[in-house]
Amino acid sequence: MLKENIDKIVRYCRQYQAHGYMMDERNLNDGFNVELPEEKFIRQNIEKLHLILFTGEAGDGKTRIMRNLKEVFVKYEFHDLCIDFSALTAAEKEQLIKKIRAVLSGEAKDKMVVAANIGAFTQAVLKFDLSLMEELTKKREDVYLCNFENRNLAENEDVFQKIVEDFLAGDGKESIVCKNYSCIHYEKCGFRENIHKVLSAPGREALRAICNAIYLTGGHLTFRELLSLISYMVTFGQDCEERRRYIEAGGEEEKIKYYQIFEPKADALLEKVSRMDPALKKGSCPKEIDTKEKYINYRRKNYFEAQVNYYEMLNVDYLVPFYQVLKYMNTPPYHYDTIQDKNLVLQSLKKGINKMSSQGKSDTGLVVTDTPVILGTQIRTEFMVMQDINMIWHKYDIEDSKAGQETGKFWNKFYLSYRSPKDRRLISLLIDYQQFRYLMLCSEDYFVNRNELTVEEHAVNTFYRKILQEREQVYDSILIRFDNKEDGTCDFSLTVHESEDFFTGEKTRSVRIRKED
Amino acid sequence: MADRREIANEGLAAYVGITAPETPRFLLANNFLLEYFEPFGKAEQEYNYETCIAMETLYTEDEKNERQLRYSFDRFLRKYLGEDSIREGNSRLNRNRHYYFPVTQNMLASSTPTLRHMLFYLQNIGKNFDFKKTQALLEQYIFQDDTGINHIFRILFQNQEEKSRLKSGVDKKAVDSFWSMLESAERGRMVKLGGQLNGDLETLLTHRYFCGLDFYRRYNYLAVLLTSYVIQYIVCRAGSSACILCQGAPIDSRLNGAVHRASCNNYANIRKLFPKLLTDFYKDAITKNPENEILRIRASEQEIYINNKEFNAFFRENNLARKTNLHYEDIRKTFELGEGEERKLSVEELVMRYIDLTGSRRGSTLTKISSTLPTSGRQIDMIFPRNRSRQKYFAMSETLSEFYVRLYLARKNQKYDYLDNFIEDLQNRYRIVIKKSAEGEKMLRSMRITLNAQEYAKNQAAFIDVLNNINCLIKLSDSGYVVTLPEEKGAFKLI
Repeated sequence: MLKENIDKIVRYCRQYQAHGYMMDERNLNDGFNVELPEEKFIRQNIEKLHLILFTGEAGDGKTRIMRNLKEVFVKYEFHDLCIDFSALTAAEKEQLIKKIRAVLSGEAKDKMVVAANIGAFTQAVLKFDLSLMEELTKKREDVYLCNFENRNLAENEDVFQKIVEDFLAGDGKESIVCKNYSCIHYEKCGFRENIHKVLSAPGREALRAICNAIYLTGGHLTFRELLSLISYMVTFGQDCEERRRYIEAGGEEEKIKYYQIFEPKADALLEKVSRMDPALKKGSCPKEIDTKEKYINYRRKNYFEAQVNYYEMLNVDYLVPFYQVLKYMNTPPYHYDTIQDKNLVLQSLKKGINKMSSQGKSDTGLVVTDTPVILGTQIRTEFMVMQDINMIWHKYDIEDSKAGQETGKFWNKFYLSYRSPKDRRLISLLIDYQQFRYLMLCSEDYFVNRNELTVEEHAVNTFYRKILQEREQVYDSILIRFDNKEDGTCDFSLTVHESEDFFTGEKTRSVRIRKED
Repeated sequence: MADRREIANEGLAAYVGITAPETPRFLLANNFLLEYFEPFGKAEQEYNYETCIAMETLYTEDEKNERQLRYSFDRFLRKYLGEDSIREGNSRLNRNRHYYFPVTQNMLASSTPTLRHMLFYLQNIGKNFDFKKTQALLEQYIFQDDTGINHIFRILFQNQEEKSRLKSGVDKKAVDSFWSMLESAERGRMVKLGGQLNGDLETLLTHRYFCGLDFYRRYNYLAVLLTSYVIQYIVCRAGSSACILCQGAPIDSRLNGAVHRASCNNYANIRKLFPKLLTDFYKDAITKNPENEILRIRASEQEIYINNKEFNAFFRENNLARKTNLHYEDIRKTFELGEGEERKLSVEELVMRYIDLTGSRRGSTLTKISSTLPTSGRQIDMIFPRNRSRQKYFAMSETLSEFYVRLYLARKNQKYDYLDNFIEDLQNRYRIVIKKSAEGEKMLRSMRITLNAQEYAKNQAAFIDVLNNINCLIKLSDSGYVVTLPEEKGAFKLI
């Protein structure tokens, strides 16, 4: 019955007054459950595994997955189960870290499962066994590291569909049918409309795009938060009784329609969603939409109806090109030459990097600048030999991809890298959404505050400096550029010139100065 | 009279250990380097297009643009040899003298050592200081760089390159004499601070997090380290439990309430050191004379006498003379004496009333000495606001935070560490309090400053934002962070 279903769903909503239930839910067995890929993977590979480490935030499902796999762990002799690493004393943590080390080195034959808050776990590792950090990040067949903070629940359409359907209609079709014919709102039940919309393909995909956008822009949606979001979209934190009272008190029905998920609310997650509100963007609309309120409702509703261009409609700068470029990185060969590749977004990005470090330049060659910060930026130094050096754009985990361990994971970041001629090591600039957005703003000549170095500029400067250290004779030629030439200065180059005495063979070095355009 | 006054000022400066700040921080670094290297050049020497052409290390084939090139090159040199930065940081520098970054040893010219070699003596206060080793490391660190723009400078100024002229060693007597003003407990603290300075300096001179950088960054970090130890010296002298309550960020709306007030109080408390030292100095000067064990003051026939010596003569004799004599009526009122009255007074009372009478707190010597704290703090972006406001406070700026993260990780020889460990180290090593801890609260309580847990949390949150802005932070979870260096950030892989 719909009423019972709503009563169950609403408890997952953070805006529901009895949401405290969720904190108890981890101790119950009758809550909502769905098998996620991580659980499936463990079931399929349990025989090979010796160490399973779950990390993530509260609500990511660490306890749930351990409970679901309890019998499997018993069967395969995983005797060391640590359900809450944070609850251990310092001495116990140290003991556990030592044990993990012993398991990794093969000294101990035990099988372990640890669920931990990533911060608490990293702190303990750094304190008790620093090198374990690197050991753990190596790919090993007998170790499964499951960091839920990197998980994007909206990445896979099928998984997302299963979550939504199991959560809203897990008890069968009956659960979304209302048989309370005496209810005065039976004819136009808001819950029913909302559930149907979320379960429909366009509604579900629109919601998935929102969740995906949170991930793409660097956010993380826990499993509990996703359920809360779906629940909010259906119930707005009201059960049947509260809804009845709301309507009777003259509450606007428009305000509790599924598309009002974008309405600003004092909640961290809903605030993130409201910032993406399509109504904050300019767009075309029919003539009859003649007020601000109508426009807002039209835009929000239209987002869920449109069935295409979800990402374009969301109010997130450069989301579409960022998504495009990530998809591009996610296709073989996973790396692209910065000079030869003609992807338009990457070309703009390259332009952005140049404009950030060298205002006024507009070509698409990469020039390495290295002006000491303490001297300001009025007179800049550029190393000319570094023009158009060979670099690549590539997928975040290209090392795994090239080693044939392609995980298929769709990352929300990628790299610009330079291969060191000395030791073939990759020197990389991480490009996440923030970095991408900043570079795109630069490429389009938006005003960017340059009083202080921004974190994005810091990242590019560091990248350049690391490259410069790798190049030989890089410092033999330098270009001096003046920001302001009104006082009669001109850009010039300084080039080291070596000459040899024709008779004695004695070598002398001097510097040639030349005006540059 | 003037000579006696100079002696008095000199005495006070010797008692405090410093006369005035050395600014900008680059001049402080240069003076420090001159403790190890003999100066070659003179501050009158100027470097420009003409000198390079004359040395035949620069040439142009572009004669039609030579005038413009000459002008541009001179602008470039003034900027990149540091003359602009140094002059901007100290408007009182003589126009005829030219101070540069020590790109070559020739460019190392001395300025007035108003810190009275304090940092060098601090290095030497302990027994285990290795002068020769530090000298060799400094030479390597400052003068051997051949990267970046320095590569070009090495060629431009090659004719001036000679073998380094090294100083021969330490004058132990001068060191002992300098620190003679300390009591034994204070001396113990200073020995510890000196050891810490030597440790940090060695880390800076040897670890790749500093040595692997170009000349400008290396030189700047050296200057920041040395200036930070001027502040550490002042805090250390302020008392065994004096500490620096540092705002997590120079400006942050979250810190406008209790944290800001507490930080201002903390700064004011540390600044009190200078008037306190002035009082102690006067007391010492008076009690040094055994005749002054018992003090009697008398007003008689339009004259004031202390132990039967005329008031002004008494202070002259104890080397605390003033330029002008103090008048009978002023003295009598200050000491609340009736005509013909005689009474006993303690040395504390005498000193306090004398300081009130002479206005020594506002005297130029003490003002100059006191300015070392705000001026040095401003130089390394640690004391705010930067204007002349009286209510100042300590805060962790972006540049200073980056320096401390770099130094911490270099000392630990780690690529990253947990944020809490870093903050703890700031407190234990440098007495910089940012978050709530039992030890920090104890130190602050001794300065009558308290903050609640919520305010501490806000302060830490602001500091986390600063670290994030400078790319020195990796977020693990909502409450877990790792500090790292921007260039090492990519190396940290999340589990």
